[in-house]
Amino acid sequence: MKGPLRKTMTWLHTWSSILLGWLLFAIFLTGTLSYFRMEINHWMTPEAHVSVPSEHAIGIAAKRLVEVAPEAESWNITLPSERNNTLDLSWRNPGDTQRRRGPMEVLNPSTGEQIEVRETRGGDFLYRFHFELYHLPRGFSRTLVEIATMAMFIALISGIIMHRKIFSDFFMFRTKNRSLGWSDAHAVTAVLALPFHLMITFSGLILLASTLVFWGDDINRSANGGNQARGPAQVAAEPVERLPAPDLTRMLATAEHELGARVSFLLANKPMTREAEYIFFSSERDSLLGSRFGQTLTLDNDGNVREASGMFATNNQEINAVNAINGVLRTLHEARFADPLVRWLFFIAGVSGTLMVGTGSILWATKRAKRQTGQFGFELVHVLNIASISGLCIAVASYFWLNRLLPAELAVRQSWEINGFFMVWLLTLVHAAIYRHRHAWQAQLWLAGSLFVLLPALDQFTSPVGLWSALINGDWMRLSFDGMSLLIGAILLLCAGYLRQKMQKVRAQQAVKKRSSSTASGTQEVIAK
Amino acid sequence: MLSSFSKGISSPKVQVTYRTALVLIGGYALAAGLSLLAAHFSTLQGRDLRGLLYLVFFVAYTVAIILLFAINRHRQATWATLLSNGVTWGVLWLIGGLS
Repeated sequence: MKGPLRKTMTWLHTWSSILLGWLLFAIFLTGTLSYFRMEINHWMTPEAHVSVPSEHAIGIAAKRLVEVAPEAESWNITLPSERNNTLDLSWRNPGDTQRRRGPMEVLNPSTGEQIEVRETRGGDFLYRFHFELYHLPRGFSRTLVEIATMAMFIALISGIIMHRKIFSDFFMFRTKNRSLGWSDAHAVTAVLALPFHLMITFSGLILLASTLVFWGDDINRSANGGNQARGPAQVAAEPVERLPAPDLTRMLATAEHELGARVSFLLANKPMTREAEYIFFSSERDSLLGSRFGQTLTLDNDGNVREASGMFATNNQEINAVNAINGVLRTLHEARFADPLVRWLFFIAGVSGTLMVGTGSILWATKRAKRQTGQFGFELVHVLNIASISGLCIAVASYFWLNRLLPAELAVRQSWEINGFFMVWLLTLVHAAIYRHRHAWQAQLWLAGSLFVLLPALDQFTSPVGLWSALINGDWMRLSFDGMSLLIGAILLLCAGYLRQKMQKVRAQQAVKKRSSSTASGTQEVIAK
Repeated sequence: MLSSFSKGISSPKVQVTYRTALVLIGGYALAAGLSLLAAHFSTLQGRDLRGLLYLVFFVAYTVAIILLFAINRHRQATWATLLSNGVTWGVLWLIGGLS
């Protein structure tokens, strides 16, 4: 810690990032994939690929709900949108607890036919994993993730201070005459998307802030809205007078007209009663400000506007600076405002962040390889690096493969997908431990890259709708997933290729050294004779 | 025995552990105090106030960690931590921000 500022910051940068580097890599990778959470959900339910969005979806939903849940306490209708091509219905029967999810149905919005989708956690597993990990107590895992995020933020700031040529590197394109090493790869991936890394880390800190800032609970959360103002957990089942089914199609038109945006979700509380309220949610945003759930409009059973909230509300609460900053950070972190282009940009920046963390961990090991090879601590870091970087990539790819290869009717299927993910990850750890000095990196990167690159082929052969038809029908969610897989696969294969090239170079140098030393000893023998 | 004790506490490992603990705990207390100060002078309420608390806390904690690590001498770092915490919490106590 003693010495000039830059040296101190280098120490801080190294140790703040390496200790939780593996966890950070997992958070970054799964978080980056979560930008395509809906696309992953869609890809992992191939039965829903036949579904085609339709303008008549709301009518079909109303008809079906009146049929199957006329006495329900509430209805939830998720309408088809740019990122969802099915019509998803769920409802809560009288007496059900509010927190338990009620019965669900997935319909084809064009035909109204029910689609039996396979049991899967889809992209939600990766999304949850990136801030709650898996099978750990929620409070503990969130705190662990928050500590890792704090370490990452410190690493970023100290990395900026220690960097000698931060601005020149930002605008510099490295030409071919300089071979890229791990250090360059780390610096380039860090500097190119630096604003994104700072934003995503700081907003992550704020999102899970309550885990580290556990004091100050006396500040009333529900003073101007919060989670505590919930209704009773148990809904009393009282007999109520039922009215004829409302005209949801007309209500939807009213809501879309009033909101000036497409509605993606409808929550109906006490439907078909005098106290009914129909809350229409729009997920479309033209601003980073505003509430988490976008704009909402509430109508009564006769279709009259009861209440509006969000950006279009007339009685909108005053947006102050702190509220705005928090809202913007949340919206940016979750990319809720993003159109496909911005989503891809965020994804690429996320990949850059993942590479930054990965190359940082590798850099730590390569710098110490000559001095510490054979020591327990170094070997442990080396093995964990392999398993947590390339091993996790194999595990994620296997999760997608398992989704398509496991029988659709398998009991507790979603558990098997997740168990498979962890079993494969464990196998990569064992492989890394055994073959750590014999191409474990290369082998795992080749495997991970190949598994990702071949996902579109798997998609072609295991989905009821071929990729060509998806292209013609404009199923961009599925095509986005396949594009994402190809991009990740290509990066992993490039890394494997780079390692192979490097290994060949080292071998050639060793051969030349051996030859020159044997020639020299031969010459000495001749001279001696 | 005394010399081995003083040797022990002056070993690099102990010093690094001491500095890390000082920075993490001292920085946390300082950031907490500063965020409570900000909350005291703010007119915000409820969730907004909590938001302000989080923002100030994380900015202050990051700056505190960087600055306290950047000081070369351990003694200076200890004094800086104690002094900054003393001033912050003292002011907070004087203005009645702890009640």
